[in-house]
Amino acid sequence: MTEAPLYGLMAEFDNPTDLVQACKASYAAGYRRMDAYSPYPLEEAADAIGFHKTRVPLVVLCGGILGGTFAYLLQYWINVFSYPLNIGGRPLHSWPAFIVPTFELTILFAGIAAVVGMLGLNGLPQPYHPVFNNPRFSAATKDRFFLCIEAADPQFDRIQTQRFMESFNPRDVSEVAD
Amino acid sequence: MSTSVDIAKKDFAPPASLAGFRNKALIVGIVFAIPSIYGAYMATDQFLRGYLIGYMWCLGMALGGMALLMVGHMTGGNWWMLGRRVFEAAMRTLPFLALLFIPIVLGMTRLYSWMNPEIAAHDPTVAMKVGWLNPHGFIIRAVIYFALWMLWAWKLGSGSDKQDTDASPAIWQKLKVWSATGMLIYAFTITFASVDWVMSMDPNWYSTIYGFIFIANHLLQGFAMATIVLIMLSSVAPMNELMKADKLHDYGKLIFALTMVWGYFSFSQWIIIWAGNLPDEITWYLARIRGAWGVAAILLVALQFALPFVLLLSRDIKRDARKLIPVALLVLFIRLLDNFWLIIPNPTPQQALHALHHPGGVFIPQMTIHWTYIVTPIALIGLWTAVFMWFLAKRPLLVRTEPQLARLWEAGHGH
Amino acid sequence: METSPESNATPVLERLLPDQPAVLGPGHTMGTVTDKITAIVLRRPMTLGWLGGFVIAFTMLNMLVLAVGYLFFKGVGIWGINIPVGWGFAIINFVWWVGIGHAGTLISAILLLLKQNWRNSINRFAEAMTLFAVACAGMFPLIHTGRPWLAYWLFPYPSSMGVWPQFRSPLVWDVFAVSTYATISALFWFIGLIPDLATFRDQAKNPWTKRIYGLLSMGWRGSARHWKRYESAYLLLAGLATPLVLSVHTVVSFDFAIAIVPGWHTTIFPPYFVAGAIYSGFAMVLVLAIPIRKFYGVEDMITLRHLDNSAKVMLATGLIVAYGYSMEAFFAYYSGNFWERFMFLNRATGPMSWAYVLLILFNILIPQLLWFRKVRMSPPMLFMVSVVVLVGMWLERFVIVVVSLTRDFLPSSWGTYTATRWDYMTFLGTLGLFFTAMLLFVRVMPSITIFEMRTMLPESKVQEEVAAHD
Repeated sequence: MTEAPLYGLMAEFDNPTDLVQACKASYAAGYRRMDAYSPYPLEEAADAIGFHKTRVPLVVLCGGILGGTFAYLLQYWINVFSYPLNIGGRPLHSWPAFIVPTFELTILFAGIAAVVGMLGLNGLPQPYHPVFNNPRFSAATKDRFFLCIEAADPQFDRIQTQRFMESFNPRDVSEVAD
Repeated sequence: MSTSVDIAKKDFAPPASLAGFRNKALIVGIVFAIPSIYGAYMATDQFLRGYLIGYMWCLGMALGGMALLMVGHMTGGNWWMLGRRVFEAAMRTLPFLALLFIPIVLGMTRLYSWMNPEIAAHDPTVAMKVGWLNPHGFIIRAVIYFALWMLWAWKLGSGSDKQDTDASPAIWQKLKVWSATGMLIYAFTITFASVDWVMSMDPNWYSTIYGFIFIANHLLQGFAMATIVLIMLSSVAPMNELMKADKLHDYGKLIFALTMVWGYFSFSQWIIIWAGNLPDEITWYLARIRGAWGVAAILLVALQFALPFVLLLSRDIKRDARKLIPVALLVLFIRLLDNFWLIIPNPTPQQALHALHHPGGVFIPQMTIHWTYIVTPIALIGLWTAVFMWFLAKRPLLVRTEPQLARLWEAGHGH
Repeated sequence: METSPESNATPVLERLLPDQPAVLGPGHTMGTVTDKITAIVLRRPMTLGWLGGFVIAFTMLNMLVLAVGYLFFKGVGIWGINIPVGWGFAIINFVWWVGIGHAGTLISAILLLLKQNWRNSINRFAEAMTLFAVACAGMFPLIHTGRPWLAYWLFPYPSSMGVWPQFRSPLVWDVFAVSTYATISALFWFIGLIPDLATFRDQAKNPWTKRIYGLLSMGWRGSARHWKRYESAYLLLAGLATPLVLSVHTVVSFDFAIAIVPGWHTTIFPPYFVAGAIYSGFAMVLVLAIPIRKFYGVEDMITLRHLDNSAKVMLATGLIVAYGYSMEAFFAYYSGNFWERFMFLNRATGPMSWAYVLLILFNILIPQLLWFRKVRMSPPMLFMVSVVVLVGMWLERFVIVVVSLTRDFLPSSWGTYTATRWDYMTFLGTLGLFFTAMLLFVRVMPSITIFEMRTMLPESKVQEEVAAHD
């Protein structure tokens, strides 16, 4: 049997404090290509692996500006140029009335941008990912915490890294096949 | 639960610097009161309108403080634990404001055209509502409003005094009941007071959202006030340990939220009246969006809504005291501009009488800025601030028996 | 780790009463929270109670199909609407259902922004409630057009007829408001579900169940980077949904207030409609939560605290609604306007005054019981008050829509309104649609947000000082 290519090494913890400590130590030791996995949002873990800023708010802002501009210009063009109607003597360019759909479409576009932006930046939906090859990983959505240092990290060494990870006293350290 | 703070060792005494602020405010108040008194004799009509602008602003501070105090009794929250004594100090100025109401009663016939017997008898709309709009009713209602406000201010204030030493839950429970009922009383009294004192200056016009707009204004004013005062106090203990970025962020978000509420209420009133375009409603707006008044209206939208909205979207501005203070000051200044825009375009009793004799046409006022419109509000603001500071300096800045007070020292994760 | 049940969450609304129930019952760990909620869907067999409820709801749903089918066959003439009351049950039901939806968004978005984490155990099914309520609501304007197959005309698209929507009409605003609301609510709900669907994927034994939840969870693996973006997007969605939900019922109120019919044209409508919407929505949350916690034994997750807090929100919004009624009455007098005064007198003493009297009784007087802690702490009493409020809020819309239209400016154009059996069948039918969808939802989706429940456990916190030693 030929050895399967290695994706990385994965350490399992049963509480968030150990995970965050392990993340901090790994980051301090120079590892960069790694990820922490937790069953609920753990901001400390993201900070510990050096992930501080997301671009999601920027995507949402762009979506909102696009939606609002589009809505107002569309209404203006329709009611003033394409299909002008006199409604109760109100001006063709009835800006108070146009504000309402403008607001709604700003929210709509911004909201869709938030969802699409988040999923897109996260690379979801993703049909396959190596971390699932670890049979213990199914507890990552229940009550276990995982740290995975990838083989692609320049500092990664099959033996040294395993020893390093075992120094955190994890419940388990195992290989993750690619 | 990880870190504990020894509350008993902390000193919550108000800093001595408050006396300095108080004296400065008092000097400003007195210096501007002198020309105001001169104005009261030489240009009584204009003085009274300027007085009303300043008076409604000070009332907004006091009632906004009281409303936020009561809301906080029901919801809790860091903003409330921090700002509670500021809100209470503002609330305690209500007896002083009752005193300051006397000039309005003395000059009421010069402020409110419906007090003129000829208008009350012959203006078809006014004649239909003399049951509400009559001088006796006006005074009796004002007495009732102030009696209720002062009763609640007294109850909420004396309960709070006891809490400096007494931690019994019975006081908390009692204050909660006073707050819940007080919010109801406040909502109704401020609605009727705003109708009596401001809306009725144009007795033909009405809008059912008016009370809500005043409530939103008061809350906005209360938050802006607390932001400024707390930042001012944050150079010394105890606020220097507490007014960290996360707390500023809370206040920034609250001002942001109320800015949107203001925009929401104002836009709702505008679009409904604009779309209906009925003569007894739209004339009120026509008087306020034509000519120079239109500029004031645009300024109001730009400075009360657009600018704070854009600025407070920024997380950075919300979390930086030096950047948040100008926004809060802007809000307080625009509250004055808003009062100016609400009060001055109304027809004076003489103009109303003239319109009664010469029917037809829409009343479009000229924009005139009389010097009393500026001097008198500043005098009132100075005097009110001095009284407010005096109350603020009399009590510890935090309530020692608050069970969750230690939470204020925990670093929060702002979003 | 020593923990008391009281320290499970930071209680914000309730600080003082020592006998106040906790947000989460004692003795839970991340494992037990996960197991308990997933078991409802993955392990628990179908019960007779659920089946009975489903049969009743599904029968009512079929009644809806029948009523709407006949409507398409015959046209809107089968309803009670006529001149002058052109907006009958359809619009009343539309407003009622949209309003109910609002509480779901309030709980999931606004309470999130206010850091009220007691919301965590009720937000999921409240969001589902929003979604199904908006579906019921959205149906009514469509079938009310009489030609629902042409409903796409409502959207601005370049048509060969060269005709465009007319953007000065609040009815067109409504199209934008409600469709945006439906979209954002669905997205918000689905985004919230992803991590829990991944839990289902990992907990399911049946390979097909595993595959379906795996597909729906899109490969979620709980990566710290993902969580960070996820939290950012979720908070931003909450920030967007908050003004959105206010705008939706505001636009619904514009449907009336932009017109000049006395009783419709009044500036307080936007906030007063929003308050009424939240009022009825929380009533529906309680109507759903009280049986769910009982049948599925989750009284330790949806605790008396949740019921108490929801009741308080109801009391507060109910008082705002009462303020609104008072303002309508006061300004009817103060306006000095003949028609405004007549409108109010007609409501209170006219031929349909029964509706107004019942409305005051159901919406204002009976809910004052909620001032008493005993009532707020008693699920059966709360359930009854909530049902009363739901009826009351329906009557409110009846009074606004029908009573205002029956008597406008000219006595010669006055009329009356009687609903037909098809009106009632359609309304009851949407209740069937709503409850069918809710019953299916609790069987296939996690009705309590598992991952947010985990964050409420003390063990979920990173211990700061331990970390500081290294």
